Amino acid sequence: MTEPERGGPRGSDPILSVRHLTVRAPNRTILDDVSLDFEDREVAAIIGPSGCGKTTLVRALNRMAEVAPGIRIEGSVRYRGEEIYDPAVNPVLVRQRIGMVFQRPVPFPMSIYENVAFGLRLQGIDEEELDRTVRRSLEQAGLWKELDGDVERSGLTLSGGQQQRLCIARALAVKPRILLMDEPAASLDPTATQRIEELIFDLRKEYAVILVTHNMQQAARVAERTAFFYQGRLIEYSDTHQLFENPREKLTESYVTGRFG
Amino acid sequence: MDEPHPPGDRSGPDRPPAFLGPPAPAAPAPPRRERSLGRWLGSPLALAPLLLLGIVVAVLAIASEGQNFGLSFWGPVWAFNPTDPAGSTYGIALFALGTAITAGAALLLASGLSLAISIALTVYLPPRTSRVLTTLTDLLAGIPSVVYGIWGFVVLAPYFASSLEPTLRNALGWLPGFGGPESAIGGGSGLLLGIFILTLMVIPLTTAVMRESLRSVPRELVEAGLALGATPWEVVRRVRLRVARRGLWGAVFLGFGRAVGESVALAMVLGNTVQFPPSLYGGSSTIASFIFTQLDSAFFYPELLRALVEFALVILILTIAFNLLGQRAVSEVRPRAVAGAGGRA
Ligand SMILES: Nc1ncnc2c1ncn2[C@@H]1O[C@H](COP(=O)(O)OP(=O)(O)OP(=O)(O)O)[C@@H](O)[C@H]1O
Ligand SMILES: [Mg+2]
Repeated sequence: MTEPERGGPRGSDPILSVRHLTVRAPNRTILDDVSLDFEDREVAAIIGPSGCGKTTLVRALNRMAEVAPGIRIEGSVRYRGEEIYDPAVNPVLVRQRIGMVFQRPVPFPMSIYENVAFGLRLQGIDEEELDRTVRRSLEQAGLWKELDGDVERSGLTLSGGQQQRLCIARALAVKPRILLMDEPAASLDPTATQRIEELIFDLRKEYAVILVTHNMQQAARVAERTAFFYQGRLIEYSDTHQLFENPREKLTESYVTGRFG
Repeated sequence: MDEPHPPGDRSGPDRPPAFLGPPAPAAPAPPRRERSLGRWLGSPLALAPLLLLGIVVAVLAIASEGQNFGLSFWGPVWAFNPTDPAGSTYGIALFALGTAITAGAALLLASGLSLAISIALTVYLPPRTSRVLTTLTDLLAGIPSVVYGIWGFVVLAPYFASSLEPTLRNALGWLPGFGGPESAIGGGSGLLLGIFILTLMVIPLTTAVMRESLRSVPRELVEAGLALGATPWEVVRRVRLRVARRGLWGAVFLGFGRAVGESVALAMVLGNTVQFPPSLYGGSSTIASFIFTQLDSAFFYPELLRALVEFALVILILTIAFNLLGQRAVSEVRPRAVAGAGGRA
């Protein structure tokens, strides 16, 4: 895959374009013919009731879905015009461009430094560059100051919110263009959640962020666009304000007004 | 020597969390080690294994009549004189050397092989193949040592003598242990065959423990590695092996404990000579195999019997030490590895 220019003018081409994406497990269809576009330097929220396929969608966007046994994927996902499901494309490269943060903070049982350096070491980055990138990533994730320079302690000694920001720093260190976040604040308290939201707000300046969330206020606070999923289908995808205040679909309306789900 | 938990206690803090559903609201955890240890020591059940161990040690100690062979017991000279059993020298060092060489080399080989097998089983092979192979390696654990011994003696020894050992001697003669006098090759019984048989015998145990340690690596950590752009092999090296490290060492210790105590099979393939082995092709004896081969004559010589009982005490202590080390490592791997992991993300 070609490395895109950073900091160029904001184009109108979507950074990620999903067409007729269908994901099946052995006995059921998890995602059914989903098509939507994601823009660079924007936050898009994915909402919908539990089990509607949100996690499956984001996992299908960086070829993590296929890691689970028995999952079959059809359709097309283009990253800057390039098909990520092309058999010639190495999933490892896709995952470097499209990073991921999981629902539960899962630091490796290693030092904070090694956690952040993990992806870089795979690419054989030299030590000096490594130090710089680790520091920059921790700063971006708002952890550097809190750590007071102590990056040698185990990542497991951090609080839950700090661990999640460590996981974000770890993902940022690889220099992705897109960050997939699957309910990154679901296991955190309100203060830690707020910090993550502020972080997401900042990240938009450099990245495309695709944020799965259960929390509609969160979507309203941080996302430009919101997609509502129901039973594996994309029901509505539009400007966040419009989706919440003036939904086109009845289903969306009843969901955002809390009448089900 | 099992993990100190009274039977029926499934609420112990060491219990790995179920992988289904969200975790229950966390009760404030009391200091883990103290509580379980305190409870364990407080229960009468805890005394059972200790009592048993105490009895075994006591019986052995009494049987040896505390006979003090002095410094020569730890020395390399074994000079048993039937006409003067009291004035004979009963040194353990040569046999300890035999034990160290056979068990050490066997564990080196078995650890490498088991690691490769368990990585293949947990990461690379399709689930069905993996299940079949798991059953097969577990079955190997049930083969009695005599069977290994007779197979080694009847089938392998002639082959070792006629082709394997001469070939190795020619090709690797410059390596310490692989050269030596041609006469050492003899009938094929010897250290090399002993190591080979012992390796086969510990592989089921080390493989089972390594496999379970690797399996207990949370899927979330594996996926986190993949999501950062690691290949499956890089995830093995940098995540799985690292997270499972303690359990893998536990496998090595447990295997060592097992190998140190093996007697019958080794007595059948080691040649049972009392000598400083001239090479890997030469005969040898381990502490355990020597006890086994000397029992007959010991019947008539109380001093000899006492020396053998003290040999047994040495093995007992070694085995317990290695098993304790192994158990500790294996039991600690789980709670640590699953900390911060739960349901499917
Ligand atoms: N590997 C799999 N095999 C079989 N079924 C799966 C698999 N992965 C997901 N599913 C099923 O697909 C459905 C959608 O799952 P998914 O995790 O994408 O939902 P979700 O919207 O993220 O839900 P939640 O809000 O609870 O996280 C669920 O019913 C789930 O059981
Ligand atoms: Mg989900």
